[in-house]
Amino acid sequence: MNVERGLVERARSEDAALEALVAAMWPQAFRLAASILRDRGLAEDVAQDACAAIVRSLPALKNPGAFPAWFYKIVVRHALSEGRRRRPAEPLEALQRRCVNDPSDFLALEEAMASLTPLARAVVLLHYYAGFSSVEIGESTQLPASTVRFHLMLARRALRKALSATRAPDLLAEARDNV
Amino acid sequence: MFSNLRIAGAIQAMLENIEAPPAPIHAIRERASQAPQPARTRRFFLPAAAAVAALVVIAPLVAPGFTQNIEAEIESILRWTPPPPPPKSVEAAIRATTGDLADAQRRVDFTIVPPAGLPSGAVREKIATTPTAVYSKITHSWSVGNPAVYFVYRRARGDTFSLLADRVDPRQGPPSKYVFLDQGRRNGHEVLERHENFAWRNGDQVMNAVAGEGLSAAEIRAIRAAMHGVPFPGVWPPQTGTIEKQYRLP
Repeated sequence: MNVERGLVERARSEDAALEALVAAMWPQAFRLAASILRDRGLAEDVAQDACAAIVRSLPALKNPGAFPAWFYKIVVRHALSEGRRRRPAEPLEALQRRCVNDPSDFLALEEAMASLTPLARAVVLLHYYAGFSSVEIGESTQLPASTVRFHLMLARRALRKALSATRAPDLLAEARDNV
Repeated sequence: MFSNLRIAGAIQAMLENIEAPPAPIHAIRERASQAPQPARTRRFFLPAAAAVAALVVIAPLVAPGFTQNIEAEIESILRWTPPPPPPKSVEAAIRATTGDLADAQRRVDFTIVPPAGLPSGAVREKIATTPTAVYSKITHSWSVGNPAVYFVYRRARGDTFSLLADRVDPRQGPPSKYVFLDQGRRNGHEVLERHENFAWRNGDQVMNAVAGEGLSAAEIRAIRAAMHGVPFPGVWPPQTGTIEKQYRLP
């Protein structure tokens, strides 16, 4: 997430900076929530709640440099909380535009992600998208790091399985090499 | 490492391809100015008496440290000692099979009376038949029991609910009056929420439904009435033979 430290600091006291920060973080919040919940309406609601929680708690954030990690944690926690309560109503395809670069990877990944639980999706996103370690993911999801690593292992397995059934042989081979 | 990088790249591309609506800045600021909503966390529901045992059944499937912590905490809440985990052979047999009503009827030895009087707009999503894991409190051993049938429905508003049909077995004892919803952890402790459990008889079938998981208690009563189901008596007749406790995978 590309948010300047200075913007985070200014957002604590300046209205205009706060609005700029919300505008900057909103797309990421929505996309993360949508990827975990697979429901556009629900994702919008959860992303709004998460952003509101961030705005509310911003003055308490001690280190503005830690904003990206803090942001991911809050969004994922909100999405998981809602995901435990609700089931998806809209397939993820409806959330996405047509992929222009590599449709096979994209479709394979979509299938793989669809086969995962919301918690496993959150673990995958935090690891591969946000770059979190298993310990950091554990803090976000309130799970022990060992459990996170277990979920990650299962998710990788599901990703590889789904990828093997689609047109991504090079990716599959690389995944095998990496086991 | 390269495959991890490739997966990371694909995931990033997948996310970037999700179109986000315009940022609702005013709505967010309005929500931020309100008091935070209480956490609405609900993981899964477990029949009251089977709560710990079901976790034991699941235990081999998830990280040992995590389940042991939950088991210990739920054990302390319910003041009940769970049975040991089932052997691998029993675990391997607990697999759901989906199909239509005729498929399910072929797999069970009781006459299936399908749900009726469902909430308007509810459509059947699937029928799954799953063998049960049975733990005998007399022999202290696990075995594979008769299959049960899950009817899963999706409501017009998007959420789902399920009803579980099983064979009436007097050895099971009276149905639980309540089940517990696991609300996740609060202040470092597992929180269980009590919900009303309904069970009624149609011939040799017992149907189970939990209030609060996509269905209200009133809606469950309407289903029971439409099925002409007979509620179980509060007092159970004296037992003969082995008393068993049956646990199912969620």
